[in-house]
Amino acid sequence: MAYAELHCLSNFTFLRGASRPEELVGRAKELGYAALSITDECSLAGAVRAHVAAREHGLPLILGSEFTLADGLRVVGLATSRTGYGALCRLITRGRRAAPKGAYALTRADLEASLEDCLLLWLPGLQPRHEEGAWLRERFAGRLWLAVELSAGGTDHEHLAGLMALSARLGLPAVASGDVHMHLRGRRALQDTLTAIRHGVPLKDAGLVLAPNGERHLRAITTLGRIYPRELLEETLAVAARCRFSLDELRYEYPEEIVPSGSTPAGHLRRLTEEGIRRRWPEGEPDAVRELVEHELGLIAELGYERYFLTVHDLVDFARGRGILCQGRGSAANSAVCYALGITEVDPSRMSLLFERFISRERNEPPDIDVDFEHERREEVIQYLYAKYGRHRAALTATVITYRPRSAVRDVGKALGLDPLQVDRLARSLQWWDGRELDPSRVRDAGFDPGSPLMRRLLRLVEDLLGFPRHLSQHTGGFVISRGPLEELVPIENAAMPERTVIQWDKDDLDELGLLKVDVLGLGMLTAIRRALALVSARRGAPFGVEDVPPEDPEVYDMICRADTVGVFQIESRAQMAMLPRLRPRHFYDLVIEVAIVRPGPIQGQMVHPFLRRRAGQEPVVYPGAGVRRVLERTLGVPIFQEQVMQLAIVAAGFTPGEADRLRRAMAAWRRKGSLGPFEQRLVEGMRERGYDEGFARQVFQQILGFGEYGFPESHAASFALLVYVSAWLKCHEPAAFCCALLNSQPMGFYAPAQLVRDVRGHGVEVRPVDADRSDWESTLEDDGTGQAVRLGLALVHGLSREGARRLVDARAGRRFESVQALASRAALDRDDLAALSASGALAGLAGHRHRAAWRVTGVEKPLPLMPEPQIAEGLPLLRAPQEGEDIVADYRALGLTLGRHPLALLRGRLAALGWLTASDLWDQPDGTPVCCGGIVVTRQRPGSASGVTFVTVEDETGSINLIVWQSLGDRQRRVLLGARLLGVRGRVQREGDVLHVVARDLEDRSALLGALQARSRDFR
Amino acid sequence: MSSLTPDLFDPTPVPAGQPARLSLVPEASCLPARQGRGELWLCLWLPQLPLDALATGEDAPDAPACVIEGEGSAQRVIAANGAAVRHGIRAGLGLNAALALCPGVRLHMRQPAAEAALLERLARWTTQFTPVVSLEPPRALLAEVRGSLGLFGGAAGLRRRALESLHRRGLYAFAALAPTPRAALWLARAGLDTPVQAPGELPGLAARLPLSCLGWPQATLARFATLGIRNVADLTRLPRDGFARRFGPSLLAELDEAFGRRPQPRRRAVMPERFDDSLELPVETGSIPLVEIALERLLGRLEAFLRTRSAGILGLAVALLHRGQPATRLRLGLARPGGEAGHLQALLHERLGRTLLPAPVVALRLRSTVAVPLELRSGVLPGTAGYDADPEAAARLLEHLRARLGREAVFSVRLAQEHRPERAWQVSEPALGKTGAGPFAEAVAVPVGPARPLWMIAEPQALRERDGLPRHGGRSLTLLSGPERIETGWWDGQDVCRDYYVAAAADGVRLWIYRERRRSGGWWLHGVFG
Repeated sequence: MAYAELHCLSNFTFLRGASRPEELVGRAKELGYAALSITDECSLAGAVRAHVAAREHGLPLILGSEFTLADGLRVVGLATSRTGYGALCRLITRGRRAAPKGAYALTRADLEASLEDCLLLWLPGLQPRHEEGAWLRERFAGRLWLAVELSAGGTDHEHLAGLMALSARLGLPAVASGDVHMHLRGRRALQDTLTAIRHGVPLKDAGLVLAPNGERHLRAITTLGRIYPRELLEETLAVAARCRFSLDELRYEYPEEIVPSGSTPAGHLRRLTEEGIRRRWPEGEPDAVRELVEHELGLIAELGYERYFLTVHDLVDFARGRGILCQGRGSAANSAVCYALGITEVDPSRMSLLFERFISRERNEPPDIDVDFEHERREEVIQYLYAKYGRHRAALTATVITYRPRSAVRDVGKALGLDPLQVDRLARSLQWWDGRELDPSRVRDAGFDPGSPLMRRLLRLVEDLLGFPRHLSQHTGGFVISRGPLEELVPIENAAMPERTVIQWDKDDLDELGLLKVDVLGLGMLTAIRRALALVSARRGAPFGVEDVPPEDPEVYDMICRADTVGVFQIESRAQMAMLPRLRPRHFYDLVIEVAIVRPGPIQGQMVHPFLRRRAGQEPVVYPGAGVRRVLERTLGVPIFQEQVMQLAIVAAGFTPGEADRLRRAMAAWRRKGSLGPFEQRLVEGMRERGYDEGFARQVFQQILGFGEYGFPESHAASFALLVYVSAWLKCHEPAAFCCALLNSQPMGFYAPAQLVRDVRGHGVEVRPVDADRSDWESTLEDDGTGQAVRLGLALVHGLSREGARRLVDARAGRRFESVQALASRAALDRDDLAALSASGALAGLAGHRHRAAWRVTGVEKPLPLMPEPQIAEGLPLLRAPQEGEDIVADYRALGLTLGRHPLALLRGRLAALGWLTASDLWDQPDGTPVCCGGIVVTRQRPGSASGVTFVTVEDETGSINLIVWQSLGDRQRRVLLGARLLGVRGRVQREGDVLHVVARDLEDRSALLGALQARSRDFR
Repeated sequence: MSSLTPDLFDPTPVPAGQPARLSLVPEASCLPARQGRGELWLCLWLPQLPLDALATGEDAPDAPACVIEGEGSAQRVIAANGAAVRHGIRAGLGLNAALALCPGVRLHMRQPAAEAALLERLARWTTQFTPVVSLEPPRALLAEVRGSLGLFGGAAGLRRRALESLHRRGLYAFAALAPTPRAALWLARAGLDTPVQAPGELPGLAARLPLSCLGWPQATLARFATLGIRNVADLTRLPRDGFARRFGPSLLAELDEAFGRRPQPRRRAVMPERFDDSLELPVETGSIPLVEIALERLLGRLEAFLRTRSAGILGLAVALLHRGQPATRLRLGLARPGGEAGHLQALLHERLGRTLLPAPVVALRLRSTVAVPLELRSGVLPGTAGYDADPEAAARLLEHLRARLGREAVFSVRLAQEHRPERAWQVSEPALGKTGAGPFAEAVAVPVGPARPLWMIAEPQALRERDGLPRHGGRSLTLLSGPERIETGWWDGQDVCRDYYVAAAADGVRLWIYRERRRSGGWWLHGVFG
C-alpha cells in the first residue's frame, strides 16, 4: 500500500503546526510516504525549508496552502505547475494584503477568480454542507476532491459513510488526507500549548478548543490502512502524480532592463568593466589584473550572472551620483570586476589572494554581494529601487522572528497557568547574554524548583518551542528583485509598518533558490567617514575622498599597535583592543586578519594563540599536511576565515564542493536545527582517512561550530579592513574632523560622546561647549587661526527638538540674541526646548549660571500677536550659583558629557583615602602587582566568544582602566558588577606590551560617593 | 503681567533687575493669627502600607519582598521590606533592576482596595486619640490632637504612644506633630520627629525639609532642581509673583496652608457602621415563639437603623444568651444586601425551628455585618422590557433551601469545556444573574460530537475481558460505535489516553466503556446511557 499526505501544516502556520518542515519531511520519508504536501494556512513561508529537506531526503514535495474563507468554506489548493504555483502565490498575496499583519481575508469571489493549474481539496468538516460542495464542483470540476479526514472522533464509521454518500451524490472523487499538525504523536503537548497560546487562555481553561487527541500526526501507512478504505488511499497517489511543480524551477529570474537595448548582458558588463579598469589604472592595468578580469568575466558568463553584477553596479552608481558613500562586501564583492565596477575599494594589488575563491564553478551558488550605505541615507537607495523596478517587482525580504528563551518561557508559562508576575520573573532572569540554552540553574535562581513536575513540563515545552517561528518581520535591508511580478514568485504580505510589505521568505530561502537579492544595509561608520572627509575637504579647499587616503601609512599602524583606537571602525571593542598589541598589524592584510580573528570561530577553535605564536616567531609554521598548505599559507597554517574551513573540508576531508556548501549552510543553521551530526562524523573520518591527526580534525570541527554563530568570511573582513584603515587614518591625521564626524553620526560604535570627546581632548584637540549663540545643530569645526577646535552641536542637548534647534539657528542668522526672552520669541521656542537649553548650559552667555538661566527660562512668556517680544519687569531672586559638582552632574544629565573636570577629580581625596590608584598610576606598576583602583563604569561587554568573561571599562580623571572579570567572580558579585556606577576593584595588573588590564579579584560598589551623578554605562553592546 | 504683584507682607515694590528680598514666608513674628492657633495635627506616615496591606502570611519576614505597581516596562517597586532594602531594592526602582539586585525577591502586585481598607481600619483605630481623624490616601492619616494632649502626657507622649502601638502591630510608621495638617504631613514624610507646637517654629525647620517631602509631581520637583532649590527654605525665598507665574497658584496655596496663612479644611473620615443591639427578655424562657417575639423587636430596630442610612446588610449573627451556659449562636448570610425585618424573621424562623435550646434564654443580642449602601431600584411595569418574574423570588427560594438543608446541599451543575469526561461537568455555586434569572438559565454551547451518557460513574469500573472483548454481568459486550480516542490533560498531571466505545450489554442496556491505552491496559466501564 502507498500513501501521499496532501494536507499537512508546519510550524509556519504559526501557533497551529507543531513540527518544523524539516521534521515533517524527514518523518514522511521514514514512513515511506510517496509524497508530502506542505499546506500551511494561507502561507508559503515554510516552503523553501521543506523543499531543501525534501531534496536531501529524495521525497517528492507538493506545495499548497490551506484556506478558510470568510463564510467558513475550507479548501486546500495544491500547485501542479509553475502557473499553478504563481496562482497560489497570487491568491495568498490577495488574502494577506486584505488584512492586517498576521491575518488574511478571502471570499468565494477571490477563490472563484483564481487557482488556475491548481488542484483543490474540499475540507467539509464534521457537518458537511452540500451547497459548498456543489458550488466548488461547478467551478473546479475535474480538479476537485472531497477530503476525508478521520482522527478517531468516535463516529468515524458514520462520518466516513456520510462523506462517501456525499461524494457519490455530488459526483466528486473522495481522497484521504490527514489534517496533519505534527510529525509525531509526541508533539501533542506542544500542539496543545500552541493552541492555548493562540487563544490567549491557559491550558486548563482552553477546553474544547484543544484537539481531543494526538491523531493529527503523520501516521504509519499500515495504521492508515486500518482507518481508510483502500481506494481513498490510492487516490492520494493520483492527486500527487498531477503535482509536478518544484521550487527548482524558480532559479535565476533576474530583471531584464538592467541592460540597455541593443546590448547583451555580457557585452554591457564588459564595457562597464573596461571603463572601470581605465579609471582605476589610467597607466594601464598590471598583467595579473588583466588575467584575473578575463578569468572572472569568463566564469560570470558561463554561470549567467551578468545581470546580477549589473544590478548591483546600477545601485552603487546611483549612490555615487548622489554622493552617498557605499561599499560592497560578500564573496563576490572582492573580485577584480567589482573593483573595476566601483562596487568595492579593495584594490586587488593590496590583496593578492582573494580572487581565486570568488565564485566557484562547482558550487553552483549564486553570487553574494551585500552593499553597505551611509546609515542615514539608506532610505534614498531603497526608494530608488522601488522607483526603478516598481513595488510589484521589488520588496523587502522577511526575517522570521522565532521563539527565544524569554518569549518561549513567557508564552509557555502563561499557557501552563503560572502567575503572570512569576512568568515575568522567570523570563527576565534569562538575561540575554546567558546564551541560548535554557539552564535549570537559572530556574532555581528565579525561585523555582526545576525538578517539580510543572517546571519539568515547562522546560521541556520551552526546549521544543525554541526556534519556532512566531511571525514574519521585515529584514533591515534585504531586497529581492524579480523579472516578472513578484507576487507570482512568492506571496507578499503586510508588514507592521503601514505601506510596507514583505515577502514570505527570508534571506536564506532566497539564497537557497538562487533568486536575486541585494542587501542594502546601513552602516554608521560610512556616514561618519563621509562627514569627516567633507570636513577635511572643506579645510583643504579641495575634494578629499576615500581614494585619496594614502595607503600603508606607518604612523597609522603605530597608532593601531598602541590600541589607541577609540572610535575606529571594528577595532575599538575591548576584545579587539586587547588583541592589537599582540597582533601588531603593520600591513593591510594584518587588518583583515585582525578583524576576523576576534570572533567566536577562531576563538572556539583555539586558533588564536597558535596564530599569535607563529606570527611572533615563537613557533614554527608547519602544516598538518601538504595538501592544506595552499589553503592555510596566508594565515601561517592556522585556519581563520570561513572560506578556509570550507576548503579544508574539501582538500583534507574529501568533501565535494557541493557538500562543503551544504556544510556551510548547516553551519549557519545548526543552532536552529539542532545537529551537525552526520557532518561531524564525515569530516573527522574523512580527515583521518587522508592521514590527518584526529586532534586537528576535532579542532577544525569546533571551529565550524563557532562559525555557525557568526561566520566571518575573508571577503567580508577585507571590506571591513578597508574601513578600519580609512577611519584609523582619519583619527591619526585629522582627529578634530574625525571626532566631529563621529559625534554627528551617533549613535554608533562602542563609545558614547563622552568618551569620544575625552579621547580627542587627550589628543590635544580643543572642544568648546554648546552655546546658543554659536552652536549649530551638528557639531562643527571652528578655526580661529590657532588650530581646529570642535564646537559641540545642539544635537547633543537632551530634550531639545530638532525643529526648535533649526528655528534657533535660523533666527540667530546675522544677529545675536540679546536676552533669553529675545531668544525664546525670535526662535518661537517652547518651554521644553528652553528648559533643555538652559539645563545644557547653552544659555550661559545670555543668562549666567544654570540656576539663573533656569529661572529666566521658566519665566518666559508666550509672545502676543501685538507684542512680539514681551518685556517683563521682574526681580531676580537670590539663587545659589551651582557648585562644580552640580555643574558636572548637570552636564552629564543634559549632554551626556562634561568639559569640566572629571567627577572623580572631585572625589580624589576620598578615593585616595580608600587606597585607589589612578589609571595613570597603574602604568607605574609592574606586571602582577596587586592593586586597588576603580572608576566610573563606561562599558560592560560580555562577548559571546569569551566564555563568560565580562570586560568592564571604567574611567577616572586620568584615563580609563580595563578590567577583566572572570565568570566565577561575576556570578558571585553579580549585583555589584551589573549595578555599580562607580566601581571599585581589587585585583592584579596584567601587562602585555602597551596594553594594561586589571584582573579583578573583588569588586565593590562605591556609587553612593557619586551622589546624584547620573553616569550611564553602555552595557553589553 | 507687566505690573508687579506685591508680596503679601511687604507692600514695597522691588525695582526690576535687583535681587528681590521678598520671600514666600515672612518672619515668624509677623504671622497672622488667622487660623485657630490652637490646632495641633498628628500625621502618621506609613511608607510600607502597600506591603502591610497584603495578606503575606507565607512570606518569611526576613525574606526579601516588594510591591509592584504598573504594567509592562513601566512596572516599578512602590514598597520594599527590610530584607529587600538590604539587597538594595527601594521604592521607585524598575522591576528589572529589582530582579537584577535580588533574583529571588518575592513580588506582589499592588492591591489598592486592600490598602484603602487598611487605611480605614487605621483611621478607626486612631479615633482612640481624637474624634477628628482624616485620611490622606494612599499612605497617611491626619488627626487633630490638641484636645487630647493632656490625656496622653503631652505631644511627645502621644506621639510615642501612637508609634509604639503601631509597631506592636507590625506596622512601620513615622509620626509628626505640627500646627497645620499639611506641615504635619511634610514633617512626617521628611522623618522629622521634633514636635512643632506653634506656627512660629515652622520656618526654622524649613531648611530641614527636602523637596521630596512635598509630594509634588516629579516634573515640578525637577524644575526646582534646575533652580538650585534643595529644600523648603530655598523655596520660601522665591518671590511670590514670580513663583505663582511659574508654578501656578495651587502650589503657592499649599505653602500658605502649611505655614498657616490659609486654612486647610479636612474631611473627617466616615466610619463604617454596623448594627449591634441586645434585648433582655422580661422572663427567662425556653419557648421559641417567645424568643421570636423578642427577636422581632430587635429586627424592627435593625430595619429602622438601615432605613435611615439607605443601607443593607449581607449577614447577621444572633446570640441567645443563657445563664451560666455558652450562648446559642445563629448566623445568617443573605444572597444580596437586604434588611427587611419580615424577610429576616422568616429566615430565622426556619433556623430557630431546628434549634435545640440547652437552657432557658435570658437575653438576645443581634449584630449585623457592616452596612453597605443599597442601590435604589425603580419599579418596572409588567410587560415592559426588564420586567421579569419577581427578581427576588429566586434568591429567596435559595435562601430558604439553604437555611433548611445546609449550605453545601444546594448547588448547581454546569457543563465544563473539557475533553476528559470526568471533568466535563462540575459543581458550582448557584448563580443569580442580575435579572434574577434562575440558576440554570446560563447558556452553555453544547458541542457537536459523539454521544455522552447521562449517568457517569464516579470511579471507572474495571471490566473483565475474554478474547480481547470486554464483559459485563457475565456476558461479552457488543461494540456498537467507536473508538473515540481521548488523549489529553497532560498539563495537570492527569493525562488520559483512552479509546471510548458505545457497547450493548445482553439486556440491551447501552454502556460507555473504554480501553486504557497505556501499559496498564484493560477495559473499563465509565457510564450508562439512559
